[in-house]
Amino acid sequence: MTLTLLSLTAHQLLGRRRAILIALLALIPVGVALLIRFAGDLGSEPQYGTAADTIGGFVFLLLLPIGALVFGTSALGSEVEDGTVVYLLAHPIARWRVVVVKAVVASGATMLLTAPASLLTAVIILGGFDEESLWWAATVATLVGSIVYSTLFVGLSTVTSRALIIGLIYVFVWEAFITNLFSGTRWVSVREYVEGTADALTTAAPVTAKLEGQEAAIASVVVVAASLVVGTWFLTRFEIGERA
Amino acid sequence: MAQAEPTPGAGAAGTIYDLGYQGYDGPRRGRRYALWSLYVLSVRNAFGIGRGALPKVMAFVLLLFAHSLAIIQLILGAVLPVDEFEFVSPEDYYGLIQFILVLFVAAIASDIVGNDRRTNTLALYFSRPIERDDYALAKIAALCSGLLALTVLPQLLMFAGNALGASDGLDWVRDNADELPRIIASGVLLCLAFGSLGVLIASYAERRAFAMISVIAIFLVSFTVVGVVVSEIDNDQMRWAIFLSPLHVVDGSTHYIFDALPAVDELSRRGEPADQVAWADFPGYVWPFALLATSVVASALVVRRYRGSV
Repeated sequence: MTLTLLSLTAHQLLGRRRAILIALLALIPVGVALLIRFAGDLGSEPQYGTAADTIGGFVFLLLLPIGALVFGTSALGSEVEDGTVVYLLAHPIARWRVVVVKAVVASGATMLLTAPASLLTAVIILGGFDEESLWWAATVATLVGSIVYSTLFVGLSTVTSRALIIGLIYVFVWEAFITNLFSGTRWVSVREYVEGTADALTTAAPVTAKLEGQEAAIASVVVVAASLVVGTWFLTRFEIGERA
Repeated sequence: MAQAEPTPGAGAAGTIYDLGYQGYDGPRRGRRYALWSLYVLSVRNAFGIGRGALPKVMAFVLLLFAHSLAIIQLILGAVLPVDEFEFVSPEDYYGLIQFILVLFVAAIASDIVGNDRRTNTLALYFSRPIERDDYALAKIAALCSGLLALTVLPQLLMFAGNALGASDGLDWVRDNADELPRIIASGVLLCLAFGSLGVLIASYAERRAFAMISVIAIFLVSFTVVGVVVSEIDNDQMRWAIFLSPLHVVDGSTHYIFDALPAVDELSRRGEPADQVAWADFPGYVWPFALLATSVVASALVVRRYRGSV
């Protein structure tokens, strides 16, 4: 039963046009990296600053949150929207299992489309697997970010049907604007966890973060667990309302 | 007037059943009034007036964030004993709140265009005296004027606050009077460009969620790509790339209008967007004209979009 739900959700998420759009978005940093490699002024030394700017500015800031928003809010959200959630909830599957499966698939879809972009961008700009292991840090941080963001947005989509706009406000107002103004809010910003993870895994100087690696790891686990609990809580009390 | 009894044979052809339909012989206000109504309705919808709680909260949260820097400036200016204190300068304001502006454009554009499509009211509109062109232009105008509240309004607030905070307010206003037309010109240009681009992108998306993501992706992706490419690739042709990023062009236009394009040095290419714009070294008037041209072209495309089958 769980397996069926897994594969159904995977089809739902990856079989539509939005997956193609996210894939196109993921190709852009790789394209930029190629452009920099062949037309830019990279020396023979690996340019850590350039790689960190490109990956930080593009993958961590845009691709990762947008991908996770699209997949995370539609894993459950599109079932609510289409009305198929009725059939899902009528099955004898524990609600926590539903939430976990949806979160796992959403995370997997986000990873599938964003982690290769990180890895390729790093490898292309640095001209191979660098010694400071920036490629490794970027990839792992993207994987961690995919899980945290996607699970967070799956949880959010059980609370409200407007999860997308609220998620957008969170990413582009809270994380991008408020966190820059008040550094005390770094604890409630998934982007800081991602950057903290990346910083902990590489010795390259241009990668900086406001959180330590351990702090980021703990915060990530807390957010994932809280999202799953909240998601289960709200899905258990889910009421199928009038169709809007 | 009492309701008239349905009289058999009174209508033109109410022969079998007379359902009592009444003719309308009140004043007919015509196309222009309908256009005005649609515009007012769209502006109200943009701020969630006459709608549910969430659109209201969303619009006013964004409005508040757009004003936050101006408010901080006012508070600091009032508390600190320095006379001419500047926390944000007016030419940098839009650059600092650009994410909020993009988010507002995305949310409102997808709302005012997408809702009519989703609820199938578009066909109803087009069966009224409103022409298709009117509809497109009313929507653009509504988004543009909604945006004014997030751009010109905080700037004016800051201007007023600075004047009140200065030791001799009247003197300060006299010295800085040239800022007022600059604030308005730069703000209006920004609103026209962002508004028309936003409606254009949103009008092509099938679903609301798509529209919102597309607007955000197009504005921010172009901004990031142009920023990285210009700073990393040492090639003179790259300066043309700046025209591909609306946020860069807006920065250029605002800085030109405030006569504050930064000086160019060897670090400009890797600096802030305004530095990159200065590095491109086009004559300054190019940027406001680029914005104006963007608005005209985007509006024309929206009009064309609605003339076809939608």
